[in-house]
Amino acid sequence: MFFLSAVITFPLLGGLALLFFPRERVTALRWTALTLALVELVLVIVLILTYLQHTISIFSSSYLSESWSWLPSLGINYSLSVDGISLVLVALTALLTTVCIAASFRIERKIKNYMAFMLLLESGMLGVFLASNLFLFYIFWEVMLIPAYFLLGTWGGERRIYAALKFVIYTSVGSFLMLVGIIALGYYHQLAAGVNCGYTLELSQLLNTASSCRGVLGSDIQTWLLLAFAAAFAVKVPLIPFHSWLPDAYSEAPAPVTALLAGAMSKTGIYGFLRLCIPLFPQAVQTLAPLFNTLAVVGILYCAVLALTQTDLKRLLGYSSISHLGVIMLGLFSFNAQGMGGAVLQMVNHGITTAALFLLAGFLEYRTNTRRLSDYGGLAARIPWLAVAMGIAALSSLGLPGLNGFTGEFLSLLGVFRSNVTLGVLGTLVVVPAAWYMLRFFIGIMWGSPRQDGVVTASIRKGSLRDISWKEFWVVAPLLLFIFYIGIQPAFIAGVINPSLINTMQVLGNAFAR
Amino acid sequence: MTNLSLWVLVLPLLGFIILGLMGRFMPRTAILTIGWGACGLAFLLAAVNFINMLSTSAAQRSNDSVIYHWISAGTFSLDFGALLDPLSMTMLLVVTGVGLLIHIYSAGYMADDPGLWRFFAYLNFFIFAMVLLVIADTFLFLLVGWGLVGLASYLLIGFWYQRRSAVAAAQKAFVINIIGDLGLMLAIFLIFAQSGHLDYGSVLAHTFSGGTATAICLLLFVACAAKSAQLPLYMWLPDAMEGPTPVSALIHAATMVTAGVYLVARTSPLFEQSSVALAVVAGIGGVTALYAASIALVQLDIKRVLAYSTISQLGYMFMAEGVHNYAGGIFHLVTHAFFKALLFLGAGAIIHALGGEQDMRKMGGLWGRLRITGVTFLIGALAISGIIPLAGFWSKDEILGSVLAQATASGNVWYYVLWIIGIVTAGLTAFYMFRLFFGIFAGSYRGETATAAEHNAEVNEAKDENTLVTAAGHQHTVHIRYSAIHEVPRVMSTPLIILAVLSVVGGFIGSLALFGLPGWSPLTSFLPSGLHAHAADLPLGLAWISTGLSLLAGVLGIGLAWRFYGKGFGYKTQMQGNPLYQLVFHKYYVDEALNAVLVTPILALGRGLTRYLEGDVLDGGSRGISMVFHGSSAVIRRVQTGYMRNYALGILFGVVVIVVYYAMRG
Amino acid sequence: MPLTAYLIVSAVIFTIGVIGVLIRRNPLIIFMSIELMLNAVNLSFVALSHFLDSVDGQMFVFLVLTVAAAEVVVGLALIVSIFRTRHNIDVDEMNVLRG
Repeated sequence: MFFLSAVITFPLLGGLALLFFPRERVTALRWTALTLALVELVLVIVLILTYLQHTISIFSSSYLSESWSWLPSLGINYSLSVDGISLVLVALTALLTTVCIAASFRIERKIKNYMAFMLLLESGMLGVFLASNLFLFYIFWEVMLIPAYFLLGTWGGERRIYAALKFVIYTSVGSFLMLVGIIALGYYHQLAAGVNCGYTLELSQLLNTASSCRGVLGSDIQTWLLLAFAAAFAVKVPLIPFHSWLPDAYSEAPAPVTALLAGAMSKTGIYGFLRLCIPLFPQAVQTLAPLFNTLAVVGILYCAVLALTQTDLKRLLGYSSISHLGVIMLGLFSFNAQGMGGAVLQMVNHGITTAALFLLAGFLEYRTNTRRLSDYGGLAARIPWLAVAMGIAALSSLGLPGLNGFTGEFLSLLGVFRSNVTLGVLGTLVVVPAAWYMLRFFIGIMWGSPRQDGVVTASIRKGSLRDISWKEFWVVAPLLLFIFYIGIQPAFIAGVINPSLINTMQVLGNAFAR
Repeated sequence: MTNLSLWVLVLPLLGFIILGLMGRFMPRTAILTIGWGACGLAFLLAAVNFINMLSTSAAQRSNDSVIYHWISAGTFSLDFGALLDPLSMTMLLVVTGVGLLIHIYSAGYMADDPGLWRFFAYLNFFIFAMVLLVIADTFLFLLVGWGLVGLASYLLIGFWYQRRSAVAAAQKAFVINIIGDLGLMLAIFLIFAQSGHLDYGSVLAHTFSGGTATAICLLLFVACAAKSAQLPLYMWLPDAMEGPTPVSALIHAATMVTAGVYLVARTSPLFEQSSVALAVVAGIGGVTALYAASIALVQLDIKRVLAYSTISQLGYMFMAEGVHNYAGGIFHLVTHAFFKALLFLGAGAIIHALGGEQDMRKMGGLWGRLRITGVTFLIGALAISGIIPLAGFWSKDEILGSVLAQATASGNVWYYVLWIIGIVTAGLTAFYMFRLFFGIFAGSYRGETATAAEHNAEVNEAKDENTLVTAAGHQHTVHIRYSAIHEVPRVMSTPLIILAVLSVVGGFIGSLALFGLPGWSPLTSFLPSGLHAHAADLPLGLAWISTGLSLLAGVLGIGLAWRFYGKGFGYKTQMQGNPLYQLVFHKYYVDEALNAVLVTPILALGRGLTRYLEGDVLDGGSRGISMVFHGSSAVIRRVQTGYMRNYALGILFGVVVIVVYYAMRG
Repeated sequence: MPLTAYLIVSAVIFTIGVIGVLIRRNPLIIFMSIELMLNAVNLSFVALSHFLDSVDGQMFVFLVLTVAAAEVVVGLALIVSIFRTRHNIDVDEMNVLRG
């Protein structure tokens, strides 16, 4: 089967094909890009359907997984596999890319390169979620960085160069450490497993589940390796204090790019923790869990307080996003079914909600050319449907019961509470500032008395402040639909995640027992 | 039965969806049909269910049915189910019944508002959320309903979203309610961590260790205190009066704010495990009752008087629950729903008739113009003052009796104090209610003759008050001549009359043991026995003392009000010099204190962190690192001279060094 | 002739090449000097190959010749295009990339 490869490479090839288009045919370029993303989405849906027919675990050879030798002496293979956890993230990525490409029709400059980069970014992310060889994982990890850099640096706002450089430097320092970690991991695994076993970077072999070469790493080595891996992931998530790149990057990037970065790319970091750090270094993870938990809790509350006072729409959303990601991290490091299941579910929810918020903020910025919260006020009467959409997304973000944000956070915090009451209480505390800043965001824009002067009033006078258009509506409609669907009936997605979750728990249980 | 109860939930939701999506384009009649229809059918179904339930034996009245599977994680799973038992049935009837009356009333009150469709959509949404809260069979969906009623309340308080005061009030209400949600979430997490279950059946049968039970109950009570506006989380309710008056009647008097009372009754087996928590419930209830009543004594905005009165009455309900008499709390909940909804709707009728005026100083003498409103308002006022034989008398009496019973049974002096607080509050209640009544209806109309001095005083006050309420109220006020005041239309007066009748007879669902009918207590025998079985019994003699004293306090309060305000309300400017009056008038400066202690520091912290930690330290740090590289490269790059021969020489030199090195090494 | 003679010639030619690269300013001359150096190395390769009776050295000569040809092509192309833009091919003037 080449299906996973097809899923990964299709956007890449499509993006390359796009480069051969004549530059002037802007409309055709846009629609082709959207069509490519849609076809990719269909491929992913087929993947989901195939998956559902076969119960598949990433820890054993499976129906869909692929493996070809590449540089066997260095332990490098081209191997891909999928399980429930990566599947939902793949689906999220495909959905968000489609939505963000559709939201990018307003980009005027170098539309061809833009669309190609978007598709390349999608390939990179899909690769990260599907790779089951560490070297391949690393390659895809770096592939993500390139389009993200150009998207940010070329189509961003005024301070785009600064933001892009900062982003690249933070990210690459982290990922180089991970590369060192990957090479060392292979070495130490070989050392532990015995001379007869080759050097391998194959995830299934490193996890000691598939092969006869079992090697258990000493806890010191585990700790150092974990720190090296965590450096890359902590920057990507981001955990504080590695988040300094994020407010700049998120506020400077064009809204659809921000939506994709915040919605999908931040999940690669958490996925790294879940898929690599926790099963590969179980002892070290247990030892260092207090560190990660502390960073997560401090990040949750710290960023919530910061979000309360931001004056820039996108920065506010950026800090809110970090704060909510902290809850996911907490859930992940609770090491029980509720916490981890909630965390995976919340990865999807966070992606959907954050993307919706950034896109809607982008629609607004397009109309008014300002991101300053104090320029807005009382717009609900003028743009009622946009207000409704934004209200739904904001409520989902603050965790209103019945919407998607609640399901994931509730479940994660439930798990956190079971493993550590103090962390559970501290993590739950965030609902208060979260409600406060989201209301400040929503009320600041939509409610209250309209401003008498300023940029927004000027655009009202010009008549450029229109309500949501049909095109825009169709862009956010799928996201809003999922906000309701996952809130009311999360059983389907949880069901996809669940078998893989149980698998992960078993691997963890075995490792913890050793 | 299950299907029917499900429809009670689904119909208002459907109403909300239809109105929300298409209401904007609908004619008025269609909006009313859908809005009324959804709520009316829900009430009808609830009533049918109720009759069905009555025909079954007491043991079979609890019906718990799973509706769908919500989520699973690992081996753990959560379902959504509906629990229909006498307790939830009582709540359902109150919610949909009073809700229906208020839906009808709103058609008149909101007739001229362009957002009529939005209003009815929100009302239907509220009914849906409240029904969900009531019929949920797990703590999880209780939390969902709990959060959704908070949202409905937020949307309706902020209904006039361009008024600054309304927006501020809505935000405050939502955030304080979220604090309550936080308490509920923590309680749920703790329950789950300890028992491994979330459905009522398993959790309520579970025995928690002493400390845990207390912690759970206290956390639950945080949620109740926020939702039911008890100390110290009551601040949002008076501000919530910014919403349209029917909303104040429905959500902030009759139904949503009683959710806390319902929750304590629902989780009574847990509270029975913790005497500390029950003592806290009773204590907070009593203190809140007295505290809020004292503030209500001096308010000038008629809706605010009623708001503080609501807080005070909710305190009574918690007092009852704190002394094991949950059924008594529910009883007061029901009667309070009748007379407080009546009072609010009456106040709404007055405000409507006066073109938006809410200030008592500009009313007076309306008895002659608003006869139906006046009579029904009087009935409501008598009922809340606990005058026999109106509804409030019976339920208040039941509560005071059980507090006294607890006091005698336990011998604890604090319960006697609580009982005295109850009696005093009853007197205060009667006083402020009749101050309000006389202020509105007695004397002569002051709307036209407000003197310049009074006007100035009032403007100053509006500034002082810091809440913008008066100011906002006045923006929309049209001064109406006395002769132009008309009784409200039928669509508004009919609900008033129905509620007045209920306020008269509603008390008879309670116990008549005092009057020689020990067998007659329909509500108590309908409710599960756990809700009253733990309450202490009171000897008939003591019961008479309690009843007599509370009645006396009520009559005394009315008498004093008559003495001061019988000839109409007079605002006394010399009161401004009285520090005690100022303290109470400014609601003990709680809002100001809260702002100074909590809100301002948090915001300052956020700004400080953004500027210094984020800006100078983190951003500055990364810039500092980049400066280091920048600086060192500035030094090193001098080597790159750009002359090719320099490089070639460098290469040559390197080669020579290497060659020499290997030559020396041999 | 002894091997040393070949190697001495080779060394002399190589040194001439090095000095040429270092002191001349015309890139064409520099190229020639580089060719001299490469061919000096070729000479020693061939000599040693004969002396050691192994074809490895001759094989390398072919490699060097190919590389040299490629290098000249690229180099001349560069020089031509530099000349077209600057009308001057003095290497000391080509210092845009100085630090």
